[in-house]
Formats: sequence, structure tokens, C-alpha cells
Amino acid sequence: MGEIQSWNTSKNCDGRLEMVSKIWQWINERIPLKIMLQVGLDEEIPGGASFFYTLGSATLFVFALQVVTGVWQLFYYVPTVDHAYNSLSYLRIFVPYGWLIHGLHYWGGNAMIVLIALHMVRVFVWGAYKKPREITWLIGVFLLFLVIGMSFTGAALPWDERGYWAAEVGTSIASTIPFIGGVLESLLRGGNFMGQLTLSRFFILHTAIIPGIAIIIIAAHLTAFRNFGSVGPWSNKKRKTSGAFWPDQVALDIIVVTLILLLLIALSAFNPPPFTGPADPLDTSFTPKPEWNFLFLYETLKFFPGSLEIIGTVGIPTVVVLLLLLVPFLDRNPEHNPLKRLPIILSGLVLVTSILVLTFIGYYSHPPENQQSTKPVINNLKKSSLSVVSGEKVFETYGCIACHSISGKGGKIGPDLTNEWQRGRSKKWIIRQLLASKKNYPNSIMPPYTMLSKKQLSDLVDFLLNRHAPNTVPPVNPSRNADTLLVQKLNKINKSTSKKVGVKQVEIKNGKKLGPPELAAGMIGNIAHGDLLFLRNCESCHGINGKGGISNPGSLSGEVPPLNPIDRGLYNKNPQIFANNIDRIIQHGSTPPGTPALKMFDYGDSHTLTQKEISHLEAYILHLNGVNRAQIETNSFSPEQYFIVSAIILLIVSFLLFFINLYKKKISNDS
Amino acid sequence: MQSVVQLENCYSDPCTFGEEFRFAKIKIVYSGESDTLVFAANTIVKGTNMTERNTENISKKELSRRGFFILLSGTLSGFIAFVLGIPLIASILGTVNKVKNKIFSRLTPINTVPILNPVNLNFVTAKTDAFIKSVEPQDAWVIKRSNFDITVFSPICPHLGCRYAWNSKQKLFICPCHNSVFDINGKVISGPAPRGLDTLPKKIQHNELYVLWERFKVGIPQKIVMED
Ligand code: FES
Repeated sequence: MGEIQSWNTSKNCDGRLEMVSKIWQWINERIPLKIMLQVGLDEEIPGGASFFYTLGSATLFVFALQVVTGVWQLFYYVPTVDHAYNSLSYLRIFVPYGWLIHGLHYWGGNAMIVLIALHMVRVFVWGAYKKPREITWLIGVFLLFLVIGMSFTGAALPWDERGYWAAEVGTSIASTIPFIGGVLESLLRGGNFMGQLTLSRFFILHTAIIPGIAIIIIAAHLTAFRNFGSVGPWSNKKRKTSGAFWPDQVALDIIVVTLILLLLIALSAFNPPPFTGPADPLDTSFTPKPEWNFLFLYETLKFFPGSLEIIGTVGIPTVVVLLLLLVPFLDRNPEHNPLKRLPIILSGLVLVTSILVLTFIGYYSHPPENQQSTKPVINNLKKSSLSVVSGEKVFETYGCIACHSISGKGGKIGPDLTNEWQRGRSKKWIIRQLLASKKNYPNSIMPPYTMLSKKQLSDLVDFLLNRHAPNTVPPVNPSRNADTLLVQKLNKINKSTSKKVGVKQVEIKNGKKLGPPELAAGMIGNIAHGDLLFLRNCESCHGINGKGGISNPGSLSGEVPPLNPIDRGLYNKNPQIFANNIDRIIQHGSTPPGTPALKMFDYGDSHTLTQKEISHLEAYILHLNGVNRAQIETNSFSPEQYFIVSAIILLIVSFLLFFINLYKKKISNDS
Repeated sequence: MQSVVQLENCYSDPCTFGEEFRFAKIKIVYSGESDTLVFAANTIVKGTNMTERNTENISKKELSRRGFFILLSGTLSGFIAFVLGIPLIASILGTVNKVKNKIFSRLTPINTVPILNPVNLNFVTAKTDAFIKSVEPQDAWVIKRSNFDITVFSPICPHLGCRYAWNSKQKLFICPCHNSVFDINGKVISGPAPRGLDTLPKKIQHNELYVLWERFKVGIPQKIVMED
């Protein structure tokens, strides 16, 4: 055994270097920094450094990025059901670069899964899971599961529509696992239903338990990798040469990592995570669809309806997991060349392709619409009777539809009139209801529709009572054109009522004061969802896309105010002020000047719409007026500017490096 | 015991690692078992038979290539630190909340306020603290001279922020903390108060009095609104 003796060198060192050297030695006598660096950097790579080997380091970098951005979000985010969504919105809108921190975390999480998948494919093709690296592979597969767990728990944390429903569906799927399913579900949810305890559990899993385990497992994965080194290329010819990890491979790693970071910034700036609105357990219009990384499972589920569902929810995932875990034990042949182990490579290819295909199908498929009613069903009625047709017109144009719905279309303030014909009410009763509702119901809020002509009243009643059997209504003489009749009447009424309305009357009506904005004004709703709600609740009075044009007999302007463009007194460039302005009206209602047939109902006060639904409507109305409810309000760079500045800096740095390289090459060629 | 020591690899790169960073990987084979040890270059293993690789000089070209890789790694790491560092620091340093709550709160119907007799009235203000919206009770002194001439005073003494009260016998506002005395118009009569009582913005709509809650810096002669 060789005898070892330490000996201090100071040859070719000037004083400064010697000083550094002494400090370095002093440190190393106390902590083995040198050894640590050696372990971290000293590795020989058979066949030399390669861009193929950067995937692992890139995953590690993104993990570190997730840790940093995750911790940073905690400066603002709070995990409670009533503040989670608003606190995250606050971070994204009012905190400088909050959009970036959240965006990087969101896209980083997605990138993580892509990178791990690519890393696994690389290891698979190179056969790097073979002896003695089987356990390194197993640890890696376990890391993949942890990351999927992070993705699942993380998605719920904003407590928005998407995250909430994904968690709801995910935990329900967990409940289908035989024997332990029920327990697992209530364990995850902290009870039988989704709620604060669910959020707390997801939060602690996402921020402490899973990342804690992941860090330990990553350390094990890296140690194992360092110990056995890189497997290198399969061709013996290429294996003759070798390269060093430091600095060759590190340089390639950093190039890839820089590009990934720039890509993540670009995604955060140009394709930010959507504001899907605060989680609303009562909401039936939101069709949950899982995150893209679970889409293949979601698609597989569709192949197994009914009692077979368990095959999709438990069976297939178990098989995939087992296959992944068993790869190193199924393929024990020491051959690394993929061309010489075609069976396993092809089966891997089949698995990967089917996952990809299912993911794409899932991405482009539309879940079964439970909202077919958004299409005006009324139009589908067989139009066999003119009185029914003109009655339908009255129903739509005189604002009945604002409060009453038929076949799912229309407002919710008044009773649903779909089955009015079944209630056995007389024509007289209904006409009384239309003209003086209080005679039927003393507490009725239904305004009297005295402006309707006798003909219109009778048509309307025909429409309501004969919806079920249009064919039984005897045909009316077609020479009487109901449509023109209707228009004429309408004009007459408009003229007569506007004459009657005196200025004095207006002033008195105007005295009603509005209450303050409510919770909805502080929440960022979802535009698409708002569109849907608008269609159901508002369009009948405010017109298609809020363009207006719906008459409001008796009001001073004669029309329901359009929302697109909206009254300039309500409009504001600042989304918060704009939302406050319209929120007061949506919450507390308003009566236009005059003696209007239609007035704005107090959607909030009457609980016709939830605060969350109102927030969606507000986002939509702002959007109609060219204001983004989720406008970023910071003094720093805008997302686009920030990306452009970083990209330009990187370009300059790359050019500089390129020229330094050229110069160095020239020098060494010269000498 | 017979042992063979082979030098497996030798890194010698003083430019990049510094003098102390040279190290060698040595494979020791003894009694059929082998072990790999890593030594710093300033460690001498006595009695070893140095192979050619040890003496092999790393070419200048190779050195320059490595130097460039290190420069590249360093610069790009710097770029990453810069691009991430700025947002991380900025997000902690500067939090802005531009939307200020400038909503008037309803105080009282005008005709319920007695003439020339200051009354302290309660009202609620909506407050936004970061992402938490809350309502807070506040109060103010209301002095009505006529239905068109109404003054609303902040209940906070401009001296050091105590709450003063109306003394109906002396017809004066008196602050209990340091005995500042103000008349019914808010003018300082005596005491340390640097300015008169602060009026709050108000408006009258449909015979109702509305007030905008504001706070002012205390202890200075100027009336300056405190932004929260
Ligand atoms: S605080 Fe009122 S007199 Fe000092």
C-alpha cells in the first residue's frame, strides 16, 4: 500500500495566488470543500460531452427554479378558500414581476414533466438503466411519480375553477381504487367534501411533504449517477475518446438551461396561465377537464364505461407504473445498442405513442356539453301557429326572457315557464298575472306589462300554453301578418308612453341610491364563463354581445342601455374602478328614468347570481369595452418588455462569447 | 501484501482551478481488489510508477478550449442570476396597490343633524389591505350651520392623534391628551396643536351626507393626506 505524504506547492505562484492557496487550505482543513467539488465536478464522460446528456441537469435546474419561485409565491399566497384566489391574483397583478414568478412556476411545472419524460426516453434508448444502474432508474421513476403528485396538488392551490374541479375529479378517481379508495379520498379531501381542509392538505403536500421527499430522492439519484458515471455511447468506436464533466458537459448544460429559462419567460409573458375565476362548488356550467399531463388517463377512462371504469382508473395506471418499474428487469441483456434490442425499444415506442395520441385526443375533445340549453331552444319549436310565433316574439322582445326561462334559456329571477301549460292555469289567470301580478301574488315583484296590446297578450298566452303541442292549435288566417302588426303596435306604444313620462317623475325615480360594490368587484372573473352567463341572464335585455337595441317601453331613452360600448360615466380605463362601477348596478339593481317596463334587477342582493358568477360577468363586460380585468398594474416592465430585454441581453452576451471564441482560436492558431 | 497503484487520470489546469485544484484519480489494486482514490496534485504518492499520462502535457489548444467553456458557463450563469434576481428582489421590495378606495361613505340624512351643535357620528368605510377587503367602522364630527353649510371634522387631533371631544358647556372641542382647544370652526384656541381640526371631504346627495375617510399626518402645520 502506498505511503501518502502531503506536500505544499508554491511553484509558479505569485504572492496573491499563494494567499488564496493558504485560505483554500485553511478551509479544507476544516471542511472538505475540495472533495465536495471533486465529487460534484470530477467525472469522465465516455465519448465526450453531449447535448443528449443535458436533460437530467435541465430537470434539476427547473426543480431548483420551482423551489425558488414556489417559496417566493408564499410571500403573497395564502392557502385559505376565501383568499387563495384573490391573493394569487394580487401577486399576479399588483406585485412587480409577480406575473413572472407565478408564470415561471406554472410553466416550470409543465416543463418539468416534459423534461423528465425526455430524460427517461433518453435513458431508455441508451439502455442506461442496465446493470448496475437499475436502482438509479427505479429512483428516477419514483421521482416522476413525485412530480406528478406535485402537479396534481399544485393545480388545486389557486382554488380557481380549473384547480378546484381537477382536484374534485382527481380525488373522485382515487376513490374508485378497490378497498382503500374511500379512505384515500377522504384522507386527501380531509372529509367527504372538498373544502378548506382539502386546500390545506394539498398545500402542505405540495409545499412541504412531496418536495421534502423529492429533495432526498434527488440526492440519492445524483449520488448513484455520480458513482456509476455516464453510460456513454453504445458504439465502441465512440467510446475510445472521453471528455470531462467540468467544464465540457457543464457548459452544454448551462446553454440548454439558459434557453429553457428564456422559453419559460416567453411562455409566462405571452401565454400566461388563465384566470379561470374563483372556485365555485355550486357552478354547474364549468366542465372540468384535467391538466394536459393527465389527459391520457382521462381519455383511457372513456373506453371503460360503467362498471368497467375501474380498469381505466386503477388497472391501466397500475400496468403503466409496473411496466416503468420493471423495465430494467425485463431487459437484462447487457447490449446497449438500440438497434440490437428492437423488441424493448418498439414496445417503449408503442407506450409513448399511445400516451401521446391519447393526450392529443383528450386535448381536442370536448366534454359532453351539459349546457346545450345555451342555444335558444325556443327557436327549435315547430312554428306551426302564427299566434304562438308572435307570442314567442313578445316573450323575447318585451323582456319576459330576462326573468323567466323556457327550456333553459332565459333569466332565473322569475319561475321557469317551460312547463307552464301543465300547471292548469286559465288564460285569464295568466293575463291577470301579466297585467297585475300582485292580484295573483301579493308579494310579486313582476312589473305590470300594461303596454302589451290585447293581441300581444293573447299571443303570449298562446305561446306559453301551447308549447307542448304546437300542432293542436288551429291555424290562423295567414293573410294577417302577425309580425308587421307587432311592429306597428310597438311603435305606437313607444310614442304614447314617452309622451306621458314627465321630467318630474324621472327625478323622483332617480332618487334611489346604490349601495357599495360587493365581493365580486374584487375578484377576477373569467371572460368565457362571463360570456356564457351573459347569454343566459343579460342578453335578452342588453342585446347580443351587449350591443343594445332592445326596447324598454316607458323608459326615458326607450331602450335598455347597451353595455358595448357602455355608458361613459361607468367606463374607466382602470379595471378595478370600472368593475366597482358596474358591480354596484349588478349587485343592487337600478331603475332607468321614466316608468320603464324593464328594470335592472338586483342580481347580487337577491342572490340570483353568486358573487363569483357576477365576477365572471364583470370580466366579460370589461372585455366587451376593451378593458382587461386582469390587467397587470405594476410600475415595472410589462411582461412583453421584460422578455424582449432579457432576449436582447442574451443575444449580446452570445455574440460577445462567439467573438471571444474566434479570437482565442486565432491566437492559438498563430502560436 | 502486494499492491499496484495506477494513475488513472490526471487533471492539471492551474489557470482554471488555481494551483491547489489539480487532482489525480489513482487506482490502487491490491490482493485482487481495486479502489479508486482522488488526490489533490500536491499530494505525492510515494513509490508509484507514474504512467505516461501524468507527464503528458495538456496542449495549449485544449487549455484555451476549457478556458472558453468556463467563461461560457460563468457568463450564462451570470445571465440566469440577473434575469431571475431582478424579479425576485423587485417583487419583495416594491409592492404597489394603485387602486385606492375613494368611495364616499354614507353618513346620515341631513335633517337629523342639529344646527350648530357638533355631533359625533359613526359610519363604515370599505378598506383594502393587499388582497383582503374589509369594512371598518369610523367616526367623524359633523357641524351643521344650515342645510347647505355642513362641515365634517376628522375625529383625530392634529397634534399627536388623540381623539378629542366636544364640550357643550364651553362650546369648544377639547383634546384630553395635551389640552389643545379648538372652536366650533376647528380653529386652534390654545394648546400645542400645530393646525386647526382637519376637515374631511364630503358631499350631499339626495339630502344625505356622504364623507370620504382620510387620515392626515399629525404634529405638523400642513394638512397632508397619509396614503396607506
Ligand atoms: S394629541 Fe391632542 S393635544 Fe396632543
